[in-house]
Amino acid sequence: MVVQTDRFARERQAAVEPLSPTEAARLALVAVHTDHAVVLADAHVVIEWVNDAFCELTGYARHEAVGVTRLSLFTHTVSATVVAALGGVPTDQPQALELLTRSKQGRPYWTYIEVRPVLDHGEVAQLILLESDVSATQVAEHQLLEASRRAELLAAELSAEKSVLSGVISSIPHLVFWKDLGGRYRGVNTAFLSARGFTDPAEVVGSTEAELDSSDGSGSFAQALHELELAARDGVAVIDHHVNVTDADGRTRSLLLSVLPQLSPDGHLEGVIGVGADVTHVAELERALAQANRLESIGQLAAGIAHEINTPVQFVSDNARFLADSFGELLPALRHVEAILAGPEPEPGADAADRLGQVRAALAGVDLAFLVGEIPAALSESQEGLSRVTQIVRAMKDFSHPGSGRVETDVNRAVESTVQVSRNEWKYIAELELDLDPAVGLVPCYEGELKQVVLNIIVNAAHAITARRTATGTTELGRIALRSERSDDVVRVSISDDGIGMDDATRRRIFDPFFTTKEVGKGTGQGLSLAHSIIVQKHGGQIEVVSEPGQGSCFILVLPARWEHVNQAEAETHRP
Amino acid sequence: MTTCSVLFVDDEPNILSGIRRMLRGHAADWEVHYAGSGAEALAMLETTPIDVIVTDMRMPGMDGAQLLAAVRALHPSTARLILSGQSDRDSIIAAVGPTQQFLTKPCEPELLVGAIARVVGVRDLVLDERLRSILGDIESLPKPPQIHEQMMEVASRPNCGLSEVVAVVESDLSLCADILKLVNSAFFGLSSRIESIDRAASLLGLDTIHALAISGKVFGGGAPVPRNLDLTLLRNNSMRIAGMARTIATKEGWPRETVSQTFITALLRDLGLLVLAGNDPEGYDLVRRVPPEDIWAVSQAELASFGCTVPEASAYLLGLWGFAEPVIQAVACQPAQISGPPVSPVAHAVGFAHRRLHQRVVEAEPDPQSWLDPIRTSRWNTLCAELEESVNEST
Repeated sequence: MVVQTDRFARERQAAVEPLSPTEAARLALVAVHTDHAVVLADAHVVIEWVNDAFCELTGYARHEAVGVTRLSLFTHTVSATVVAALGGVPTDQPQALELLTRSKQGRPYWTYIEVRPVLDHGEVAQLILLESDVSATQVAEHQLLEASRRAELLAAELSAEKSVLSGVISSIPHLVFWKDLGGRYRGVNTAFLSARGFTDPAEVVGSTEAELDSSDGSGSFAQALHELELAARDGVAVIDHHVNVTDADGRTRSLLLSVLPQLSPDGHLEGVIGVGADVTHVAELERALAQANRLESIGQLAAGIAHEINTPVQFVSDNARFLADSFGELLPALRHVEAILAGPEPEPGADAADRLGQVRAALAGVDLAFLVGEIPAALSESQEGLSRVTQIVRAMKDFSHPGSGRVETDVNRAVESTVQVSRNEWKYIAELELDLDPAVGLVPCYEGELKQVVLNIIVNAAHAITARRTATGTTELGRIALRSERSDDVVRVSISDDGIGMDDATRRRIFDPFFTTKEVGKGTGQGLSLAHSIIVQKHGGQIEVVSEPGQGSCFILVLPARWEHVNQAEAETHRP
Repeated sequence: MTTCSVLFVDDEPNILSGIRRMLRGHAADWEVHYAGSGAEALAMLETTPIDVIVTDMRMPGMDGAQLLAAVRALHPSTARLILSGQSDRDSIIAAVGPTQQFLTKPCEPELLVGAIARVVGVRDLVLDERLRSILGDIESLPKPPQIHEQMMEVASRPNCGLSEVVAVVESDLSLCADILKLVNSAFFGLSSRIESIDRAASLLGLDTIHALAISGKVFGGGAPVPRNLDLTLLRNNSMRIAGMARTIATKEGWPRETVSQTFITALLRDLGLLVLAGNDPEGYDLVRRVPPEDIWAVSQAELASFGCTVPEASAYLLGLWGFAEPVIQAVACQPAQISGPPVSPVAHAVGFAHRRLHQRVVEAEPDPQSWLDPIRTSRWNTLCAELEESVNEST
């Protein structure tokens, strides 16, 4: 096998001129002492003499080499190039070969052979072969080649990776940027650009926030960033800080902004990395879920309220039909009697008796005794029915009044109207006690939300009681008790039931979104999670739960009762 | 009409007194009783024979569905109605088994009186108290056992369409009847406008059908399928009669409502057989031996074996279930009498289609004064022949 490398071609060109016999003779002297293998051969490459170095390199003893051609010492097949150079056809041009060969003992090595013709009067008189073991160089060269190939590959990979990475970064819907310690942007992604009203990274990279000509207008963004960056520059990571900013299109966006210190490999602070997750649609989703819960309970209530109204309407309409029938009998009879009585004054005796007979006959078909008993009752029951309908409609109106913002709210009344509209949810299941402390008075509340919470808990209580009644097979009504009380700074509304109760594991999870113990289709698992966010986050209050399996549950809503305790800013905005 | 007794049950005294006053005019025909709870009602049933019970759904203690289940078990011949303010799907499904008719509050006095009168009216069709008990005990008609599975499978497909549900419903006569019964109840209140099973299914809605399939109350269970009754044949015959009767009604230009009544009458004409044959397989064997084209002999055999004819039993069931009066009447007078009392065009069309099923050509009535004169007869023969031709082509 011959490996002809580029180096081979270069060396061939650099080969020295053919030698003269004198020079050859001098060289031969040198040859004895040199470390290179040297072969003297005739014009047909039949070896005449080799030096010790040759014997060592090839493994042939001198007497084995002398008298044979150089070619015949190869124990393997060789390429045409080698055959041409060492094949015995004289050529007056020096040549060089590089090939992988084996010593007589079979040791493989790379050999470099220079063939130098010695010319005598223009004729090839002799050949000098200089051979050396270039295995080391060859391997090194291979390694070099390999290394350079690897480097190229790596570069290609890196560049692909870089484009993937920058593609990833730019396509992340969250805002991504990184800055140096001087506050200059070093990179931003597409989401960042579009939120800030830029189109090209070049507009931003290299500038500080102050130098930017951002069209997000309000400066809300710069302001939000500033504080967080200060913290990050002190080496503190700020994670998921909730900020509302106005984007270039003037829309308000909810961002969860994180700013992280960027450290060099040796731990020095190099800059900051910022990521802003746009949670606007998550916030919208939360609102939609709250809305869904509201619709769910309104739907449920609507069915219940329909029943509450249907019952009185049924008997009012039956009574109305009865009254219509009754008066349909009564009035013609009265008209008849009137006509009889309208005649001239009857003569005493037979005439009067006859008239009396006529009147009796006119009234004979009328069951007056029955009507006298029933008509007043029909009227009073109808009135009662109508006032029940009125009451329900009023409570519904009251309940559905959402209130606007946080205002002074009559908490007792809110509880009462909620109890009223949810009557159908509990009346077949439980007796409901109300013990509302008049001292509760007005409390700063989001009224609609508060009623929603009370409703959710009442409905849950009814379900818990149903579950216990089913489990124990009793038909006795359960008990739901609502109490309100006011202490110095807080108002407590407690809703307790004697339902099936909860174990600790359930109690710990009840405020988790989508957690529900009810069968599929019986609830979205949003009720209590919503209650928690309304009471704790919106009102700055607390929900306490006491429950034990089989012993029922008690939910206590604790609401701050004074404006001073309500978030000051909120108080300013909402105080009526 | 014999005097009959009606029992109203409601936990709201005002409802009972309102009904009592409203029904004053019916005092002569009906003996009316009242109970304030399920327990009170059951106690009353122990001592007083009651023909019709009308109960509220939601009551403390025993609710309406529980009460009716008990009434069905103890007094199956008592007709069972619910008059409820709850009209949500869950309540319907909860009560669907033992309840024969649903009425919703507020219910017009005429509607309430009409529903009771209809139930009372059909009692004259089946005089045998024992037979009434058997018919009244039916919670759900016998169905092939695989139908519930099929329904569940179809209904649980994520993109299940109405047409797939309708196909399953139409594959079984009992299912058709059950679906129509549900739609006919006052919860849906549209009995006169049902033209077809797809209309009924779409009125119920996929959600309700799915919920019903899961509850297993309508599509599953039911009485066992009579061993000697070929359900597929019965269903195919009913469908063919219904198709012919509807074609006749349509081509005659009858009003929409009449067309739909004709269809339902024809479809459900033999419904009673499901119960009668199941109750008395030996009797049905005797009936089967009579050649079907001899319709009068078949009627005689039914009367002899079962104690009433199949259409009478069907009409009785439809009456209990609150189907429209013209449908009940038209079913009750099958096979349409030639020289009996005059019957409605609906009854004639159904009677004609029924005979057409077993005869290539229906002979004209010998009575020249009959409404179904030779000209009509020949026209209807042609209509049916055309229909069969187009059906054969399409298959």
